[in-house]
Amino acid sequence: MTRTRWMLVLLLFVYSSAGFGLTAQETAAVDGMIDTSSHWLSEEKIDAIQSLGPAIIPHILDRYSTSDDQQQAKLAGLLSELGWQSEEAAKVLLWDIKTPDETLRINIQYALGNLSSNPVIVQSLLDNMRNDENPLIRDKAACALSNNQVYLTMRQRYPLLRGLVDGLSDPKAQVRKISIKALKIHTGQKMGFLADADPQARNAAIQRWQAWLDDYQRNL
Amino acid sequence: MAGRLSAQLVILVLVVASCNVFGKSSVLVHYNFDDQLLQPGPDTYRVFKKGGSKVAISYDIAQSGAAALHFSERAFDDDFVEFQGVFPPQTSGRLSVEFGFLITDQEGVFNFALVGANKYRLGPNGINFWLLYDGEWLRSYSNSIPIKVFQPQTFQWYTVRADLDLDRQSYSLRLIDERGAVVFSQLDLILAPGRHPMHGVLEYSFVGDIYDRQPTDLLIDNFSVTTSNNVVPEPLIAPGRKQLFVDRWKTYQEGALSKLQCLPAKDLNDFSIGIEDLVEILHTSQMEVLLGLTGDAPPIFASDSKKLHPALRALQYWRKSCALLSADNPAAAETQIDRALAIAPNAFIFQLTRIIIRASDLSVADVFVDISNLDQEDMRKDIALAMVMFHQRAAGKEGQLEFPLLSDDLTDGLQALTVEHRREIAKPETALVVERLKPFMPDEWEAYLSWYLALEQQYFQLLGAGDYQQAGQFADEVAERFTALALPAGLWRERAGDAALLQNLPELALQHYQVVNQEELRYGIELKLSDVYFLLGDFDKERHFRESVYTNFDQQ
Repeated sequence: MTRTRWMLVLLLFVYSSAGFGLTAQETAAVDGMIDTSSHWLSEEKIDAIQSLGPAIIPHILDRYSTSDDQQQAKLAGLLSELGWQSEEAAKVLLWDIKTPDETLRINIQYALGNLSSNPVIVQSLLDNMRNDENPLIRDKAACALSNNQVYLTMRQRYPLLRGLVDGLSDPKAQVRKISIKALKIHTGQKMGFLADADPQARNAAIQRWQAWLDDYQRNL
Repeated sequence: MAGRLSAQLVILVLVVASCNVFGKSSVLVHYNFDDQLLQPGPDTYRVFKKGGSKVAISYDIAQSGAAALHFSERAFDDDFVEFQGVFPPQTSGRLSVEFGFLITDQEGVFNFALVGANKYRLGPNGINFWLLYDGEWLRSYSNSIPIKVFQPQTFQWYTVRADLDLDRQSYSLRLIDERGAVVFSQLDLILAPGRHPMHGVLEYSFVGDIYDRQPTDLLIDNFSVTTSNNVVPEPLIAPGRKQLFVDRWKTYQEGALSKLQCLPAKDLNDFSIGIEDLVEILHTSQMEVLLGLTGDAPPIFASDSKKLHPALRALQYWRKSCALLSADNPAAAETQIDRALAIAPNAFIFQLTRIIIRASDLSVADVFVDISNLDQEDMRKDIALAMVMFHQRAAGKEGQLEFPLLSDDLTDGLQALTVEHRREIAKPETALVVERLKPFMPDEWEAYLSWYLALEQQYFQLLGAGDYQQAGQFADEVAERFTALALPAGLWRERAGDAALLQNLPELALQHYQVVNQEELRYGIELKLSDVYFLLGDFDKERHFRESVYTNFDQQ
């Protein structure tokens, strides 16, 4: 075996046996902070966990995979608050984007955009915003699309904006309302779109949004 | 009513009339970072940075002169660097912004924005001008679209010149390289949030990556903001600020104590009048009415209020209510303020006025709870408490003042609490609200609330009476009692300090504030300490405390 391979094996051993670079006391302290919190963690606890650095993420994901819905919702909220980019965390949470548990689903929706710029996230949130049976979930998906997509580049933002403009044509008035609200947060504008206006007036405003989208795309 | 409010409205009227009567241009901001004394503060600028981030005066590379401002920050360090400052609000005319910039890292990200009262969000009166370097392109927002401007090279100075036409909601932008060549020029771009009828600008910000994904390594130099309006900036009376704490207090207190009366409005937000209301008021030619209702002169009431914009109707009810209160007719005043609140239930000044009007009927506890529960952090809440307490004392309702005593049971109850719980119940927002207090003290909450309330009441009565010496002694005594009971005494030490400052005794104020500063972090105490050192002529310490809140640039 070459020297490099030995090094790799050694590194992997250290990585797994030492709890991903953290001491047993540190992971136990994090567990204690999670277990003694009811629905979410206090700012002090989040700061304390944050001070350990992203090395704690695998441990949180381990906990997530063996937890019930309530605990998972808390852990999704924690990952969101920590705000470190983590494709692995995003993948784990994406598995539960359609979970029947309302709180967990909402927390996952909020967390995803704080973890990754994976385009699947925007598509999943747009799908929840348009098609979920629960209006609350639809509303919170729009909130997540409005505020929590911190890792998107200008180019990655385009499908999000296009999805929101598509939402203006939704047959459900609530979807039209949350779509225009999200667009207003992104752009500061409504372009005269009123969710409850007659279809003709809505279509005219949608044309303005389409023209604006074309302009946006041209500038990418 | 505050002159500032009238000044805002005069500017609005100029917009309505499309007057072009601007005199020669006025410089609102100018920094070349070379040799002038740079003083951060609430009325100038401040810096935000954390850990290893830097916003430093650098003598290595400058666009001109000896120095430039250097921003450096790593990605994912849980913060972004920022240089943020204020200037007198501009709602009309032309505004020119100019600065030089140089990037040392192609991937480093930075933003520059000019914002209005709605601060850092795209929209009317929010971000009006936004320049962004995204690690590849310098972009400028126009009609909510980040248009491509130029791909700057590293270690090259570029000069940005933007001319905003606030009346036409448009701007022109030029980018000039260090050889003087214009590398980008475009006229008639739409302001960042699209065409809205009105835009105000009062703050600027240079900032790194707001999402903390990318590093920032940037220099800026020769930054200026100029207006075509003839503006005479209010002078700074101390470094970085236009008023000291005592001046602000006395401005509000002036005339407030003779009888129960309305406190002045600060700005249109007090009435919940937003930009959309203003636009409608403009379109329906009712700006004169707004001016009439908010000016210093006695108000002119519209004969047919039904035709008025709802925000103006509410404002008219408030003015009538204030006039009735001054004429000692609180019942009629209450009817009017209730009408105003029916239109604008969240308007701070309407809510405060209602509490003042009802003070004669309310218990002291209710007045304290109602005022404490008003959302807005505002010195006028303390002034209102002082006025109400003074009035109740003058009306003979509260009898002789004696130091409120504590029963043995309550003393035992307090001593049984954890440190964390004691810290919580020492705050007025917990102590005076039954449902918040009860979980901490299920048995003694009533006795504690009565005792706490009596302390608050007595302090504000003395303050309201202008008896600052007694108020200070009382606050000092309460602080001692709190300390003996292991309750955090910071609030009372600060109040003792405030009373000393109001007596023009900065040395005494200093003694109290210093104790607070060492024992308990209280928001805003540093600026009061800075005021004290200014009054004592110790300008190094004045600067130290001011800059602990309004951080200054690092020196490289």
